[in-house]
Amino acid sequence: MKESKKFSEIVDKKSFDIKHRQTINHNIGKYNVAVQRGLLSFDDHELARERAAYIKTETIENLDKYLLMFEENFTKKGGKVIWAATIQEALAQIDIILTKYNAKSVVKSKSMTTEEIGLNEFLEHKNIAPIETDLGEYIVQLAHQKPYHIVTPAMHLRKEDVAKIFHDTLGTPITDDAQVLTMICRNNVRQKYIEAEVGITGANFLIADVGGIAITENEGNARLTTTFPKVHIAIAGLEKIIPSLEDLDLFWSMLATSGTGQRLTVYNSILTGAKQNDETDGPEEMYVVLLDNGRTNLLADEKKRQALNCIRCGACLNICPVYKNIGGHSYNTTYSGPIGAVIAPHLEGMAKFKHLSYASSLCGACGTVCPVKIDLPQLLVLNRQESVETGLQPISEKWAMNIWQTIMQKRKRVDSVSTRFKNVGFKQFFKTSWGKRRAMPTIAKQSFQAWWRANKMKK
Amino acid sequence: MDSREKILEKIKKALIIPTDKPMPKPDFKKSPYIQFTEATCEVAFADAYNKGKGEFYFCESLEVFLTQLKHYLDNKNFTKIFIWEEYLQELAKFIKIDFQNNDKNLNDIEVGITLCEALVARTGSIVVSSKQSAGRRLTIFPPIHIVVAFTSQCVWEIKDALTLLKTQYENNFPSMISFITGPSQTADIEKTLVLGAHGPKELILFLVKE
Repeated sequence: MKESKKFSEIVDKKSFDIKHRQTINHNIGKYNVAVQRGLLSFDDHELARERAAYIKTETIENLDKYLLMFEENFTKKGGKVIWAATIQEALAQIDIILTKYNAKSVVKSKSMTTEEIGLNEFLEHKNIAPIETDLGEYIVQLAHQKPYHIVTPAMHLRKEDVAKIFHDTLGTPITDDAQVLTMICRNNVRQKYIEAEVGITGANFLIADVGGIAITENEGNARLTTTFPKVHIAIAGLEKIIPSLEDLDLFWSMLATSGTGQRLTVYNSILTGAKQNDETDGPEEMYVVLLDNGRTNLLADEKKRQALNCIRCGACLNICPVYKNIGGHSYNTTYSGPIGAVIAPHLEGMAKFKHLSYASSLCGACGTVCPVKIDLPQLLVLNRQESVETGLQPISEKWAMNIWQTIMQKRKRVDSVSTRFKNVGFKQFFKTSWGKRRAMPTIAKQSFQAWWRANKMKK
Repeated sequence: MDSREKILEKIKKALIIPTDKPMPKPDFKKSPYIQFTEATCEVAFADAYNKGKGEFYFCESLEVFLTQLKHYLDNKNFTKIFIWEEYLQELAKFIKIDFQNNDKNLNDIEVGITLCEALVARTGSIVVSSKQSAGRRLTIFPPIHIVVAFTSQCVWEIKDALTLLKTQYENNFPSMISFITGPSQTADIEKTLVLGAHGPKELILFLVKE
């Protein structure tokens, strides 16, 4: 089935799933309260946004320079950089490392980039156990689902759902205590950090001047993932780069406030390589995979390039009325919500995912909350434009627009048929596309032009 | 042409046309954060730290600290205390605390006691690094993490702590630095806050006045 048709069908159901809506409203309601509190630590949040936007834009504008700087500094300390143009290249390179360490299990911290390359499926195929350690990811992995949200993977599940998933897969007793559920995950995963040969993480930022990565997390699972295994592989989109270590002051703050409403996330860590000679512990080797996978195509479009400024905070998802109604899974893309609708067509194909750019009322809310000031509504419009210009809209739509244009250009043509005929014709024409939940407006008996003439005459 | 060259080539080509709407350069002097009302760095730090879920003990002197620490540990009856930093080991011996100085039976650890690199007043964060002999493990693996810090280690902003580390270590930069702001936590289930997701459930700070 076509992706857009699948989308329409899922959305039609999800939008009227009251339980789903209650769960999401509950979660996002709590998020909203936290963000309002988090913003209180800023005297001038707008200035912070402008700075973040400026730094990211300038960095992306010199992307090659900063990536080379990152590579030089990271390599100097013994780290290894892997450049991967495609998903296949990334997986092939990771495979070489897994073989070298004879990996039987891999501990993973939360990373959307690993979702993007389908790492878990790849590992399972190689009979290597991928162990998600982030609680939300742990839950959705057990439930054989995809992350629902880029920051809060299990946002769509209630306590009862989680308890049932744990009960069915792990045999734990049913409970409605979030603390008990969390401890099940903690206890089950704890030994895995020590057993796994390889730890795989994402990276929230690549830092050019010290040659390292930064990871932001609350749980401590990324810290453990980068502490015990013999090798640490970090996979990052190549747009994650920032120029200097000190920039983290701003970006950590922005990410925390927009992502969860915290002043600062619990663990903000910088990793610049493997264990050094004068250090107590740490991995023997560290790799950073720089993933392109379509990002340079987006870069080549000077109007849409700013989408690469994204720091994946999830604020645009949480504010989006469309996301809140249709939910994260409906998108069927790695990145959901407004930013997902903007970038998915460029990472996974315009023909396949252009429909997401139309699934928006262009209310503009996403643009107002973005901490790096990405003009998301404008980018959605530009995606629509590109899909039309490259001839991707359906033939029926092309025809319809042509006919509409022809009729509308001449008053005579508009008036050539009766109102009754227009009403019947409209109903027939929009039978499916108008949607079953809204009434088709009827065309007035008298046209505006006729009314105007008649009333003007009277005066 | 390998992937590296291919990607770099693509980037160069892509960037020939500059960004459609470049961002105007904003003011980089003014702080975007609220002004401090506290007079000293350590008071500001304490205020920020106490907004979180960590425990806090302020000690007027090293002697007071030693008494308090001894009292604290004895009260809790811990038997598996791990200390890997020499300075702390000396202090522990002085007040007769049994501790383990290696990583044998680390799985059974109850408490890890470590020093830190810096404290950040703005956020109430404790900065640790892999250059401390506590390593990467002792600041994340134990269920209870006790940190010993000195008032002189306090800096105002995250930025100051980062600059401090850069100048302090220069070419011998730590392989791991972590800004710890409270005990490990999660809110992944219905946004309900639970402490001790994977890291320490309790974070206890003894701040010693110098």
